[in-house]
Amino acid sequence: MNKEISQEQLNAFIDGEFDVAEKEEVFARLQHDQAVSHQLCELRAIKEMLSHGYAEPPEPIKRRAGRVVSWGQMLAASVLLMTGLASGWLGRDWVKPTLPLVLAQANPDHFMPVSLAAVSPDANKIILHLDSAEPHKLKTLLDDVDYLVQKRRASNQPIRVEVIANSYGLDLLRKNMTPYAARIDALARQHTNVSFVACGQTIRRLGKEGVKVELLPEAKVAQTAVGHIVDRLQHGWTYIKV
Amino acid sequence: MSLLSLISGETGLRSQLKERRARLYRVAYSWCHDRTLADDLAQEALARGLARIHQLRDPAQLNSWLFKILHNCWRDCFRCQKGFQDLDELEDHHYAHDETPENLHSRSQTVNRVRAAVALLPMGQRQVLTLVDLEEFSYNQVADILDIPVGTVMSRLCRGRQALKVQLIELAPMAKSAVLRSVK
Repeated sequence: MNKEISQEQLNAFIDGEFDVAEKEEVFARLQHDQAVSHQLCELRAIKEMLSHGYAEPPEPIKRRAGRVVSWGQMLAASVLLMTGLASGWLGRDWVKPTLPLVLAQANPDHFMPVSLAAVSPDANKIILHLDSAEPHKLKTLLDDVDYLVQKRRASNQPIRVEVIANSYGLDLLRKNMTPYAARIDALARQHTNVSFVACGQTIRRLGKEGVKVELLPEAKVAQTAVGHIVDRLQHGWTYIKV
Repeated sequence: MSLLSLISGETGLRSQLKERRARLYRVAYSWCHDRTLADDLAQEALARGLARIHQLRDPAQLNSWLFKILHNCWRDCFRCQKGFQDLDELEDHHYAHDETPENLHSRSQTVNRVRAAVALLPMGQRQVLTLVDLEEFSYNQVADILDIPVGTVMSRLCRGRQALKVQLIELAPMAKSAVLRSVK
C-alpha cells in the first residue's frame, strides 16, 4: 500500500468509477493517510458545489426563430420573397396609379396628395365647418357646440371642438356682422377646449373687394380653411359640415 | 427511460420530453452561460434527436446519445460563428468578471461563484466536468459523447477540478477559513 494514489485515481474514486477491489484499496489507504482523505474531501466538495451551481439554472429565454436557421427555412423564405417580387413586377400594369397621383407626379410643386388611410380617427376631436351665413345654420352650429361640450363634460370625457368659418360663414366671427358676439365670447371663455378659426383666404378676398374685416377677439386666423381642415383630418379629427 | 417507454404511451411522452429538454438545457447552459443560446441548443438537439431516432441502436443509450447530439450542436454553433465569434457576447463574460453589481447583490453567492469559476475553465474541461457532475455519466460515456479517449476525460476532469479548487476553496476567504478549521 505504499503506491502513490494519483489525482486521477482520486477523481475516479469519487465519481464511482472504481470496482469493489479498487475501492477497498482506497479505503484502506484513507485510514492511514490524512492528506489523502483531506484531498478526497475537497474533491467531493468541488463536485457538490458544481452540481449545486446548476441545480436551478435560470429560466431559458425562448426565441421563436432560432439563431440557427436551417437551409430549408432559408430556401422557403427566398422562394416566398421571389414570388412576392415577381408578382409585384408582373402586376405593375394592373394597378394604375389613381388620377390624383398622376397629377401629383406631373406637377410635384403644385399638388400634394393627401391620404387618410393611415390616420386613426379620434372621436374626441371635432372640427365644425361653416360656410354659410344663414341664421338657422349659425344657431344650429352654436347649439351643437353647446350640446357637445356640455354632454361630454357631464360624462367627464375630454373633447376638443373647433369651429372653422369661411366664405359667407365668416360673418359669424366678424365683429360688426355676427349676431352672436356675446355667446361666442361666453363659450370661449367658459371652455378652453372650444376654439374659433377664420379663413385667411376669405379675409384677403374681402379685403381686395374693399371690405375691412374685423374679427372677434376669440377668433384665430388660418392660412386657408381647406388647408386647415385637411391638416386636422390628418391628425385624426372628425369633420362635420354644418 | 428507454426508447420503448419513450415511444409507447402518448401521455408519458410529453412529460419525458419536457424533462429531457430541461436536462439538455441545464448542461447547455453550463457550457455557454447564455440562456437564449442554451435554449436554442437544447431545442436543436432534441429536434435532431427526434428526427434521427431510427438511428439509435441501443435504446438504453438514449440519454448519452442525446447529449452527443447536443455536443455536436454546440460544436456546429462554434463553427458557424467562427468569423465573428466573440465570447464577450455570451453571459459567460458576465460570470467571468464577477465584480458586477448584479453579482455583488445576488441572492446566492455560491451559485454565482461556481458559475464564474466554471466559466473560466477551458471548454474541454468544462464539458467533461458538467457531464460527469450534472448528468452523472460514466467516464466511458463521456468519452463516447465527446468523442475523445477515456484517458483524456480523466486528465481533463482532474485539471478542471484542480482549477475549481483554486477558485472556489483556496481563493475564497470564507471557504478558506472553513478548510483551516476542518484541518485543525
